[in-house]
Amino acid sequence: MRASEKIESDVNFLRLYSPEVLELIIEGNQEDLWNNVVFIRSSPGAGKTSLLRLFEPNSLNTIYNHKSQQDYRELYNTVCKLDVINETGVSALGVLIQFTKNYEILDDIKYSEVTRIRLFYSLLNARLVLATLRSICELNKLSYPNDLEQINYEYENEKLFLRNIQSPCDGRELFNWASGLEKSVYDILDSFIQPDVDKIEGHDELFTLEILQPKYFKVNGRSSFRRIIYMLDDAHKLSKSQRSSLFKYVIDQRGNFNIWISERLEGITEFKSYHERDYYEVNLEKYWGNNTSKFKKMLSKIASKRAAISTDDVDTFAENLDDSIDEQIFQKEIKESIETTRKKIQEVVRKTKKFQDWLDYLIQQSDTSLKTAILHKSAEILIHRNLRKSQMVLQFALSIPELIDKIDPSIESAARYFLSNEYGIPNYYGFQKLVVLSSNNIEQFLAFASDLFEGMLSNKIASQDVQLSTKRQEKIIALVVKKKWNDLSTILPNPKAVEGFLNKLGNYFNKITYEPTASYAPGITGFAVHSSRRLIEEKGWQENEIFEELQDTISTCLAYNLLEVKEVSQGAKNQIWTVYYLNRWLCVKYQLPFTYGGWNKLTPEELLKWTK
Amino acid sequence: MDQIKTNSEITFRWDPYALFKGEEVDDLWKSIVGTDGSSTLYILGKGFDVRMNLGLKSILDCVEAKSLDIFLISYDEGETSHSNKYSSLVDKNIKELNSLISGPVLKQKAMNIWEGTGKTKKRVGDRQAIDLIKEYSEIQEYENIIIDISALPRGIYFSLIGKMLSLIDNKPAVANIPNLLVVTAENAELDSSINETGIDDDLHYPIGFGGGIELEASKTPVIWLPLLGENKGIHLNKANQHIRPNEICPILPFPSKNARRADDIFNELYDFFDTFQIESQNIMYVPEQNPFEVYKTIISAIHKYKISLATMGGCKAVVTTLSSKLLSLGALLAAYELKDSDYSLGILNVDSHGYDLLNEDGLDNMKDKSELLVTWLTGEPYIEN
Repeated sequence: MRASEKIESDVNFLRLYSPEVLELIIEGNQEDLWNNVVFIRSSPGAGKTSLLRLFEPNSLNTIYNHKSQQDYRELYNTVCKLDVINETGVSALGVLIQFTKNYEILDDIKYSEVTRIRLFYSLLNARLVLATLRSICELNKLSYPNDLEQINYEYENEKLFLRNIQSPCDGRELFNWASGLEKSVYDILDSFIQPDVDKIEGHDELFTLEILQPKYFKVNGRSSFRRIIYMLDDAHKLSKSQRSSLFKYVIDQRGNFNIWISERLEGITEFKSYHERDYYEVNLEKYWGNNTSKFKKMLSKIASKRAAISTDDVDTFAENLDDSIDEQIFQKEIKESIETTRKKIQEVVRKTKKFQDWLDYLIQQSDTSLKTAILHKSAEILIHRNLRKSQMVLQFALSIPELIDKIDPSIESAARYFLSNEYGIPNYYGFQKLVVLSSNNIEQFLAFASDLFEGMLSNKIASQDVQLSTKRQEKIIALVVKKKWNDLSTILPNPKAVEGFLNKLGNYFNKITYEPTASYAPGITGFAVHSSRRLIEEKGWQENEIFEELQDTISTCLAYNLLEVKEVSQGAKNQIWTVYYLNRWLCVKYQLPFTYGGWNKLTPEELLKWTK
Repeated sequence: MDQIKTNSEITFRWDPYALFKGEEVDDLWKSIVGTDGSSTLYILGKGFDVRMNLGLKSILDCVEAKSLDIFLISYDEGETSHSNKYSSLVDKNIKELNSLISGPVLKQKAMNIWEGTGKTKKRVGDRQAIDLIKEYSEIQEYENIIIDISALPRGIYFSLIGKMLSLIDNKPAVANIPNLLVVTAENAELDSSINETGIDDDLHYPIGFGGGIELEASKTPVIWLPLLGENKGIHLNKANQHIRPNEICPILPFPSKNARRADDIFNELYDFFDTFQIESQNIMYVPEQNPFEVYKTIISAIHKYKISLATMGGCKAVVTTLSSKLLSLGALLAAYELKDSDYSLGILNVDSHGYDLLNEDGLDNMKDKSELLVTWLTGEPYIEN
C-alpha cells in the first residue's frame, strides 16, 4: 500500500483519488469559487496539493477521456458540477505554480525592499507565463516547448505591461521573453558572484493575471478554454513581505481572474485585516472535522482503491480489520476485571450501604462478558464520583434504575478505556478508530493503513486468515506510534523541549483521564491557555518575551502536526477558547481516548515549566 | 575550464586529479607550504568536531610555516541548536588551536546559519558563506589556499568552496592561479557517531548549486542520484518528497574500509529501495575515499541520461549528499563543473538544526583513527605547460 504512494502517472493518481474532497468546493457558493480569491488551507498531508493537481490539464484530460470507465465516472460527474469539464471536453485551464524557498531567498539579497519586491513580481510573472504556456500545450496535446509556435497571443497592451516583447506574438516569442526574464532573476539567486540587478526587468505588480486571459489565446486559430484557474501552491514558503504584498494585490484586484492559493495553517496570522467577503476559504481539516462520515467514506475508498491495485491477492482493506473484541481470547482478563471490580465495590459497601442495591445487581450478572465488565467498571466510576461529593449529603441508598440511568455513553467509554489500561484488552482497532486516528489527515491515515495492510499480507503469506485481530491491530498501531515518536528527535529543530513538553502534557492527561472518578469521561486530550494573572497585562502570553520558549514549543508542535487547534465555545457568554488537542496518534502513546471533548485550562506559567 | 561535450566523448576538468592521503600529505605540505616565499591562507571552522585541528596540526608538525594566515569561521547555529550542549568541546578545540598557532596570524569571522526566530526563522548560512570572501583581492596575495572542512557544516563549505573556485576561475588575467586545496579528516566510525537532529522541513538548493532545477522554463524528467550513508532514512524520504524524481540512481560507497558497508546501508534502507522499486542496474558504486571518482561517476551518469532522453528534451539531475564530507566534495565538483553548461545538475542537501554525539566519551580514541585526505582543486597540477 505504501508502494502505491509513488503515484507518478495521471492515470494512477486519478484511479486512487477519491472525489469527496471536491464536495467541499461544490457545497460552497459557485460565485465564491470563480472570479475570486480562494484560499485552501490545512496542515501538511491533508491533501491540498493533490486537490490542485486534479485541475491540471493532464488530469482533466484523463478524466474526460476515461469518463465512460467505472473507475472514473464518479470523478467525472463531480468535476462536471464544477463546470471545468463538459460534454465536449475540458473547458478550464489549470495553471499550477509551486512556491519554493527560491522566492524567500530574494529577500536575503542586499537590495532595497522596493527592488526585492520588483524582482519577486518579475520572477512570478515570468513563471506564470511559462506555466500558462505549458498548460496550454498539455491541454491541446502539444509538445512543450517544441510546439509553442502553434499558440497565438494577442493582447493590446494598453497599460504597457509588456515592455520587452511585442504583442501580438506566438507562444515561442512569449516563452523566450519569459524564460529569459526568469533566468535573469534566477541568476541573482544562484550565483556566487552577483550579477548587476539594474539590467533586470523589474515589475511592480502581478500583471500577468490581467494579460493572460482566455480571450487572448488561440491554438491553431481556435480558442480552446474559457477560463483559467491560477493555482499557487505552498504560499507559506514566501517571505512575510512577499505574502503580504501578493495577498493584498490579488484581493484588491479580485473579480477578474480565478486564483486559488494553498498554504499551511501556520502561515495565516497576518490576515486579520481582511474580511471574509474579500476571499473564500476552504479549510480541509475543519471541513473533515465537521463531516466525519464523509471523511470516513473518503478514506474507505482510498484504502479500497489502493488495496485493489495490490498484486498480493489482498484486495480489500476495511473488511480485513476485525472491529469487535473476540471475548473468548480475552476471557481471562474480562473475568479478572469483573472479579476485582466487584471486590473493590464490596469493600466500599462494607463502609456504606447506599450502594448495596448496585452491588446486588452486579452480582446478579452471572455472565463473564465484556458488556458485564464494562457495567462493573462504570458502576465503580459512579461510586467514586458519588463518594467525592459533599459528606453532608444524606446517605440514601441508590437504586438500580439510578445506576442504569447514570451510565451514559461517556461513562461506558471511560470504563472501556479503564479496562484497556488495567487489563490490556485492546482499544485501538477497527476502521472507524483508524479514521479518527488519522486526525483528518490523509497522509497520517496512510502511515497507519500501510503497516496494517502489510500485516494482512503477512497473514496471507503465512496461510493464515487475512483479517487482522484486534490485538494485532493494536500492536501494529503501537509500533507505528513508537516509530513516529522516535523520528521526532531527528525531525524536530528543538526535540528536547518539544518531547519534554509533550511527555509532561501526555502524562498529565493520562493521570486525569484515569482518575477513579473519570471526571472528564471518557478522557481529556486538550488544553487551553488561561492566564491566571489578574493585573492588566500589556501583552498576552503569545507576545510576552517571558514565554518565548513556550511560544516556540507550541509553534513547533503546530507546524509538525503534533497539536491540533480547535475553537471551542464554553463558559460565560459562549466565550471562545482556543483549545490545543494532542494529535490522535499521540493519544495512543499516552493511552488516551480519541474524543475531542475533554480539555483543561492551564496557565502559561505551568506550560512554560513543562518545556524545561 | 573544459566544457562537457554532448557527444560520446566526455572531458573532465579534474582528470587527471591530485588526491593525497596518509604520508603523502606530509610530503605535500613540505613541497607547497614549507617552501620559501610561499604564502598560505588556511581556512577552518570553529566547531565541536574533534577533527577540527588535525589538518592544521599536520602542517605545523612537518613544516615551519613562514607565511601562514589562519582564517577561523565562527558560525552560530542558533540558541535552540542541539549542538550548543557541546560548547565544552568547542572550547577544547580552540584551546588546542591557540596552542598550535603561536606564530601564524589568526583572523576570525563570525556568521549566522540562521536568521529570525519562530515562524520567520530561515537558513542563511550558505548566503553568508559566499560573503566570507567577497572579492579576489582578498585572496590575491596567497599562493596556497587551504580549506579544512572537518569542522564546517555542509551548508557552509559547499557555498564557500564554490565561491572560492568561482573567484579563482574569474580572477584577473594577470594574476597567478593559486593552489586551492580542501582538507578532510576522514573517519567513518566517528561520522556515524554524530547524529543529525532537527532536520530541515523545507529544503532548498545551496547558493550556487541550484542547477536550474527549479526553472519553470524547463520541465524535463528529473534523475535523482542520492549519495547514500548510514542513518539517513528520514533525510532520504524528505528529499524524495521534495524532488519527486522520475528516476532514482543511488550511489553506494564501495570499495570501503568496512567491506560490508554498502550492504549494511542497503539493508538499512531496504524499505526505500523496495517502495520505489529501484532497479539493481540503477545502483552505482564509488570508492569510499575518492571524491574525484564520485565526480566522474555523477557526470558520466548524467551524460548518459541526457543522451538517452534527448527526444524528451533532455533531463535534469539532482544529487543529495547523505554520505561523508569527502564524497560530498565529489558531488560539489560535478555540480560546479556543470554550472553554466547545458547540463542541469543541482545539489539538494538535507541539513539539520544541530547534532547529537552518540559516544562523547569515545571521541578521542576515534579521533586518532582519522585519516587526512587532501584534494587539490586548482593550481600547479592543472596548469598546462
